[in-house]
Amino acid sequence: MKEKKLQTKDLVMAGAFAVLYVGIMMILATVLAFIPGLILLTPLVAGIILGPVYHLYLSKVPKNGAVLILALLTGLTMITSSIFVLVYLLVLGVIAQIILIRTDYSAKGIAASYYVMAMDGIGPLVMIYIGKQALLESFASYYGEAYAEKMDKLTPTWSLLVLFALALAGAFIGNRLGAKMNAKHFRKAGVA
Amino acid sequence: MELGIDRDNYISVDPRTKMLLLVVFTLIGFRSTDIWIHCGMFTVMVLLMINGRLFAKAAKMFVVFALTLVMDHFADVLIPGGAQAVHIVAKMIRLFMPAIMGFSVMISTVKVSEFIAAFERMHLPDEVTIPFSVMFRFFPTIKEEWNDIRSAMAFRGLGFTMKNLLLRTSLIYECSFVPLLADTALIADELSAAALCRGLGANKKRTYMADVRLRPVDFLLVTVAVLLTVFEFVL
Repeated sequence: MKEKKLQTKDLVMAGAFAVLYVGIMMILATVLAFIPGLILLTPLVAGIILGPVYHLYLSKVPKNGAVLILALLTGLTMITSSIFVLVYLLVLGVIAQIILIRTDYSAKGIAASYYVMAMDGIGPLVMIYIGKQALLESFASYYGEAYAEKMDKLTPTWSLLVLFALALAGAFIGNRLGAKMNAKHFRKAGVA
Repeated sequence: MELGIDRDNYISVDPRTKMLLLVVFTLIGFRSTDIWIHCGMFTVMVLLMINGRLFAKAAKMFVVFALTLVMDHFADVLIPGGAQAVHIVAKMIRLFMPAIMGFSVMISTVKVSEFIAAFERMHLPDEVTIPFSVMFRFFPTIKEEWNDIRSAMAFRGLGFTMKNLLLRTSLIYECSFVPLLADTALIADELSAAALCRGLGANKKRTYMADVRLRPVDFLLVTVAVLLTVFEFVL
């Protein structure tokens, strides 16, 4: 039977990959924030780019709790935008973890769980829907009234569904890329 | 875990205090528009940077912050029409400064051993302590690797230029991400070997070289953080 408990080695690996995961997401959200419409594309772009990170991480650490730690670290780093983000991410982490345990960390299971985890790209945007009025005010004071108005028009409540759809699309492409990269490079090089 | 930073702080400040300041300041920084609160946060962070001997960085931050104040002050006088834009830019910069400064204080003035000692003092399990410490240790490493990868790509005519980004997106993506991921995995392997040598894997209570405890300075800093929070949310 394979050992499924996290060892120190795995915890170090989790920290290292969390840096990539969180770092890339933060950079994306910040860069895309400069143009009002583009920030809404964060789930899509993050889903695509983070796919390979997720796949390599899980093929290196196919242990119980691995995804949960990733979700926890991501949530803690994003906590500055809102406490809800941490709760949201932990929920995603638990679901993804259950999927992984049920599928025994097979390639298909990793892909399936990534569909759930990719929803974390919405994390930085959650504030838009939860505290819309407060956010619009702070947008108005920081980026100017025009930005706030555009933001308001771009984000009626139903657009949350669009964000989820974007995240799913991102996860789909990210999964393809991740699986491909693993097969083409990492398995050959002995990394994965 | 070996760490490239061997600077000692003049006055030791508990890592937990720095972490609290980082969280509180980012929270307030992103919502407050009050200039005095921003000045207060800036002062605390600059003092922490000087305390950690980050002189060059502290000077840089000081210049940037002073510039935003100057921009705010003279915008209305000098540019009657476009003053609004100048104010927005100044505010934007100030918005991110507490977070950026807090991060660099965390990353460059706290040793990993201090981190782990502080976390274990808080009785957190290894599953939280180790990944978190590694995370802070890893940010500078990844940045370095990323710069190396970029210059290696530029040598081969695949620099991060607008043209390449638009026309050869997938090539850029593959050529930057594959080495980045491979590096991360390999460095993490080495790091965990080093950590095991230091007995991080043994399920025994560990002792610490790092002298981590709350001192008067820490209480002073926490008081400042509380005061700023009160000013922001109550007044």
